[in-house]
Amino acid sequence: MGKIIYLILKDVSFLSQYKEQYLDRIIIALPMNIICVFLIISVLQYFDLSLLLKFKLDKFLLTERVTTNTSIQQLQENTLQSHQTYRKSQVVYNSFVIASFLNFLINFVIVVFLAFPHINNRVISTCPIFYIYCSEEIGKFASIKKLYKKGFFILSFFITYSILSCIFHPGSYVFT
Amino acid sequence: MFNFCLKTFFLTRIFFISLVTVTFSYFIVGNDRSNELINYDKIENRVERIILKFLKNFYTYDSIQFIHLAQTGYTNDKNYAFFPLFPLIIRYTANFLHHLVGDNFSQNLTIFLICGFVISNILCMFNAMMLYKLTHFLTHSNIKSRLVTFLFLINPSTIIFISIYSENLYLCLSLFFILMLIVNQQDSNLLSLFVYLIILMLSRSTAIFLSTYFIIPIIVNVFVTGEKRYDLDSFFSNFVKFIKILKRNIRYIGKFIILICHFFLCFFLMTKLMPVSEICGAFSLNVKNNRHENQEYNNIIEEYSNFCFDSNLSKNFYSFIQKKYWVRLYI
Repeated sequence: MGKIIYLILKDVSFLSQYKEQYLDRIIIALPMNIICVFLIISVLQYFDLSLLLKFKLDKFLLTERVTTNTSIQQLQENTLQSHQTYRKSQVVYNSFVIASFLNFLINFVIVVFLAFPHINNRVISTCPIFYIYCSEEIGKFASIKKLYKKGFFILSFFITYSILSCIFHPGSYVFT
Repeated sequence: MFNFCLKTFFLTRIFFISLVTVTFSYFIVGNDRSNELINYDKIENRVERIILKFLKNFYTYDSIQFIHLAQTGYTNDKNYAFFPLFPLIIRYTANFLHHLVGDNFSQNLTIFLICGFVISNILCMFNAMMLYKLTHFLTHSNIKSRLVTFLFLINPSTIIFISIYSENLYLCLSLFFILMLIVNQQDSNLLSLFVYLIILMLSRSTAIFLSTYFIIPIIVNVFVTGEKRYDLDSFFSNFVKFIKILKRNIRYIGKFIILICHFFLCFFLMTKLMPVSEICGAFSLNVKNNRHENQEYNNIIEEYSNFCFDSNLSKNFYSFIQKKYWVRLYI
């Protein structure tokens, strides 16, 4: 096992693909990388990691998300049966976040450090947590006024970015 | 749900396909070699020429490899960087379509391009619907589900999702896999999951990382359906209780450990044993020791024989090909 790890590390010189030669690819992948970093930070902030270290896994998994969803809040306030339903939905949501976050993180680390940066767009866009994170971020602006100001900004950024990637991604080699 | 997904899908596809067509036809010339691969002079059928001129915009980079694989199978070492499920689906659909249209199209490529493009986009529509269902199951919110679907349909890799790439197939299979694990938390059938994993492994190399999703049913089983909710106070007693929970669910956890092992076994078979038996079968010690006048030829032989005669298990053929042709650092 040690030998395998040594051989893998020997072959890899981290970040050596970030050269001027690949500047166009780095630029096209940069916004996605920034979103990914924000995603990692917010997931780590969402969970109380000290609970995990203390093996308080039930409390860890019952971490509550900031939500404007009234149906879940009503469930929480009602009967014992509803409380159990709420608890289950919370654990399912959190276990999904943990599983998909791990999947996302492995993909992100491998692509950013070991492969060409522009592949990041392809790999991350197949992780469901990416879309759920973005929708949660937009959904945080509960009031219509804020949603129009900041949510609209995020949405328009997303649309512009996808249009630009559409134009430049396959033809990005033109600019190298 | 169905109406919303369908409407958004068609609107966004029309917009992005038009954008790509206009951009590629009038602005981007550079390294797009799809034009060189299609001989338009030989095409007499006007409809076929129009279809090819339209689809050539999506016949770039990896798409060329997928279509080549669908047409001829694994004919050179470069092909081994691509997994076989997507080309296989294109191949069988193209054969079926060929029976329907007969010899109306002079170029075999036209049918393969149509099939690749249509399959990819149909799968994209399914992905949008499954993402909607997944988000609705997790958040119980229609607005968020709609937002997720919309974001998926305009994501920065839209160009990949409308082209002939295996991303759509991979995402479709992985979303179905996630839904199967989340919705059907306790009663996951071992055999069906195992068969499904093999199919998943045939789509993309990154399918191996989906093994992280196995923890969902375990977590849910241990912490929700357990008879008693544990009030964990101190570290030591927590640990003891945690072990007790694990012991009580050992059969269930064991089942998933077996599945994860199968996952890695499938990956190992896909990336190492299958191509190695074909490529390295052609090499013998005589080939390795024979020197040729052409130095380039000698270098290629040296490179391959070093790989084939190296008994180190940490090397796999997939990584060898990735390093050779595309990403020097990819492992």
